[in-house]
Amino acid sequence: MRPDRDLERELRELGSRLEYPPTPDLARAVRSRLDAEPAPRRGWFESPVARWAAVAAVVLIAAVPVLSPPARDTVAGWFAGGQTSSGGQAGGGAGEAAPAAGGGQALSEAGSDTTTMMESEGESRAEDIPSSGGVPPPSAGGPGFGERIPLREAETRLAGREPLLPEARGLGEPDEVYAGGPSRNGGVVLVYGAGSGLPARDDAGLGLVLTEVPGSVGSAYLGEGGLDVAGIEKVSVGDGRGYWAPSGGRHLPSALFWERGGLALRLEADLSKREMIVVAESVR
Amino acid sequence: MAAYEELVRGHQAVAFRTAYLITGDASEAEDAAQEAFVKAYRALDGFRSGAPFRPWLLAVVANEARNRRKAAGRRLGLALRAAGESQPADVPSPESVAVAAEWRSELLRTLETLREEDRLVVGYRYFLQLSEAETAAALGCARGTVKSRLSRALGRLRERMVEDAAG
Repeated sequence: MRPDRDLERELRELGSRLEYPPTPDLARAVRSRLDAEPAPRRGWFESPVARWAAVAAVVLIAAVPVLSPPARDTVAGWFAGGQTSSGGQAGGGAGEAAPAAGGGQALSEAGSDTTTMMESEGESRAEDIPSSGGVPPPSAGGPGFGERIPLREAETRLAGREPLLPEARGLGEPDEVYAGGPSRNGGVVLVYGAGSGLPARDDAGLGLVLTEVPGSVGSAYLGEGGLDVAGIEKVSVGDGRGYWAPSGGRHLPSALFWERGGLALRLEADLSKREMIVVAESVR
Repeated sequence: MAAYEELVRGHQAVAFRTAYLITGDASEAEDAAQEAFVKAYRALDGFRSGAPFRPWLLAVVANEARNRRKAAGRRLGLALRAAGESQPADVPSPESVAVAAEWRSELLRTLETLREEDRLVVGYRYFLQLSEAETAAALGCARGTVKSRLSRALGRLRERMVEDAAG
């Protein structure tokens, strides 16, 4: 008998010749059904922006691997060093490329009740850490910020690197610092309240969010989602590269991604591209 | 909603075929996949950011498909057939084409005789070319189990091919 390796090859060959019934237009049918029924409304997800963000996060992760090869190469190539966690790896689907399986097994074993997937995302523990300035404190963490920590602990969370702080607009030290958000292992999130020329988003009082993670932009953010690939534009930040995502923020509308000092940075605010770049260039 | 529609479009083929491998019936597979996409949308806020979407989706799809098959009370069959053989220009002789075609038909027939979990792990990995993580999600088993299950399935398939050839 032929060795397993041949059998595997033959099975793949057989697989490529199999005939399936034509795939129905599920996209249209699903959309019609969802349009016809009111979406369940719960907590944070009540916000249309939040729902959009959740869909966009998934769309990014899911969309990159199915782009045509030249498009995939382009997107992957934007994020340096082949460290993209999505789409840059040959052969592997999204399943192997992105980190940490999302509980598919648990779901599968939980019968047809998909609501068992619900997690309480971003349970922030805003302990008794005083706000550093006179700016009204932003929302108590909000979704995905993680655990609130004092600024002096940020260095430990960044593997010994000092957190970089923006100097433009008199920003300096953040109002709140978070670490250990649900979707990342390392890194910190610096949160600035609205005011000082930073427009607020809704009532949350958030003005600017700066996320710092050791590594590259690709490894830190691409697999995480929240990045609308279609809208991304390459820009210059100082003498380096950056990526401007006008609707790619997770907590605030726009995001700018760049790397500096071994850290992958994401700046989020409701500012113009030019204003964001000015803030980014002042981060040191 | 338009973004989600695009997401569905990007995954509808693999979702439908995954369901079809389980149900063996196109209309049930369509229902299962459609229901899975609707449930996935409703559960999106519980989807962990950064986690891959496809294994999660396929777990929902497979679950829906299994439920439908159970309700219908049918034995699972692969319900597949190989496409008609066309002769590529670089193949030396019609005989070799015929032999290869016969071999593939035999392989498919033998595969049909394996038990469900063996058929599915082979189908997911080699026919749909799902990753190990995706296969694990669709089977509802741990990722580490996929390798051993696949190896066992291949072993059984080889044995039966040998038996058939011998007798």
